[in-house]
Amino acid sequence: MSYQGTLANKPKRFSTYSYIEKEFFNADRETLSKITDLYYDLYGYGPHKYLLDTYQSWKSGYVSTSGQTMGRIIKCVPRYLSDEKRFFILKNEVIYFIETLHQKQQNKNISLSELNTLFENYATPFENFNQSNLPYMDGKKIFTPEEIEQFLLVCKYALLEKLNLAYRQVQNDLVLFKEKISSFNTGVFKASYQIDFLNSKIDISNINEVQFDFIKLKKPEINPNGTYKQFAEQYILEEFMQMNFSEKEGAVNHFVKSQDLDFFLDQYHQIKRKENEATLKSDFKGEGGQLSIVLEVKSLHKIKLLIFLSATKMIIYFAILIIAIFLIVKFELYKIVILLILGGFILGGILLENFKSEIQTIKNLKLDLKRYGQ
Amino acid sequence: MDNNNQLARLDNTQIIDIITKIPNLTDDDRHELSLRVASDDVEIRKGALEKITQSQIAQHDLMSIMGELTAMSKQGMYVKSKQTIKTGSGTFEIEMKGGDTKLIIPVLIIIGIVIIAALVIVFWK
Repeated sequence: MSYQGTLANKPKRFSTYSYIEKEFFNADRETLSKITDLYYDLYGYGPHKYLLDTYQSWKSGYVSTSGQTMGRIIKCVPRYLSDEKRFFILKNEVIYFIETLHQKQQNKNISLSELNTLFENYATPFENFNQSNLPYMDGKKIFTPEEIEQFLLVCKYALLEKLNLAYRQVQNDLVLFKEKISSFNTGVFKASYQIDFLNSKIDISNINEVQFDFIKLKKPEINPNGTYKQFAEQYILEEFMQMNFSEKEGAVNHFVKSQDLDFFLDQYHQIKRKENEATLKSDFKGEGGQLSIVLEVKSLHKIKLLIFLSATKMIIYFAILIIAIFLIVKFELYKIVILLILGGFILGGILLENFKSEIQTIKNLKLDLKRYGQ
Repeated sequence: MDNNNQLARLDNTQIIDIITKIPNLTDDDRHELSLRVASDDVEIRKGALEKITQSQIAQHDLMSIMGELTAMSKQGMYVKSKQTIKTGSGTFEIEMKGGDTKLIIPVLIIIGIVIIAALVIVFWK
């Protein structure tokens, strides 16, 4: 049993052209005769004679095939290949197309509220995918429409199963994180989550303010039949084997991540208890993606001290301003223009600016006190 | 989800059931697939052990470092440190500052006195 070119393996671009060319030049006498007979039926005496006369030169590489001739050969050869080889071509063509669509759906940055839409939208183009998306197959009668349709159904089924698995894994990761971080106030940490399957990032810094509302993604039913039933089943089985591996590996990652997160948060609490300041950054590989988190530990004692310092500075600035105004009025300094410009505008401006800056600092510190105070 | 549930997900019953239910597989195919399931299982369990060990080593290392930092802090020293460790699930970076700042104040006063003294000497005349 051979398993090649599944979506999870991320195959390189399979060349149907090269594959069929190779099959054509390596065909046994009987198959070659069938191919050339069909060639005669489709294109007539002249092209058929040219094919027979030039076959050996093409095969040895002395003469290269023209685009037109190769196009005709490609149309004839697959009909006489074994079912396994025909399925191999079909499978690779479809998988290449799906892989291209899959990549188009990646690299998105979303908020947590857009998670369901991201997964739902991913499935849409695959649901509308049909034979017209396979230019190599379309109108060439290489495979019957039923054969193509059957395999498309199989591929869509496998892909939607993978999407379901990825969605479940992402849910598990997010639920675990929310459970662990629930005692933290929003603003104390910054976190993002990179979904492996969709290669897209979610900002989850506000996870404690969001109620999860996970949806049920479509789960297609399939019952392979037709010529390729056996190969389709093998293909699905291979996909299941990989999903099974991914799910079990995910379970291990979930377990390890849970332990590491506990340790990470425990360190946070220990540092906080000692009234130290720290920045803790960590990456955790989970079931369906990677969590990145940055936690700030701030000393409450220091925050309070800084508020006191800022308030003192404000009082001093205010006092200087009042004294300055008093001196200007008492000694009639406003009559000296140069002093008015220097003292009144420049120094006064600096004092007011510092005053404003301290007000902002106090506001920020009060916010920190609220965030870190619990 | 508790840890027992997590590890229960390593069960192979489901995939073995699927393999058994596909009618077109020969006995050899089934045997080959069962071997592959078993081999994957070994690989996953080996990976799990490596990750758990890695996490334990990382936790031990970090706790030793934090212990030393705490001891230094208790001795009245101002501490600033940055540590990066590799855990089973990723990396952990911790940048910490703390301890007794009282030590800094005399140092700053001495530096200030030195600067003022230097200015007085230079501009005295």
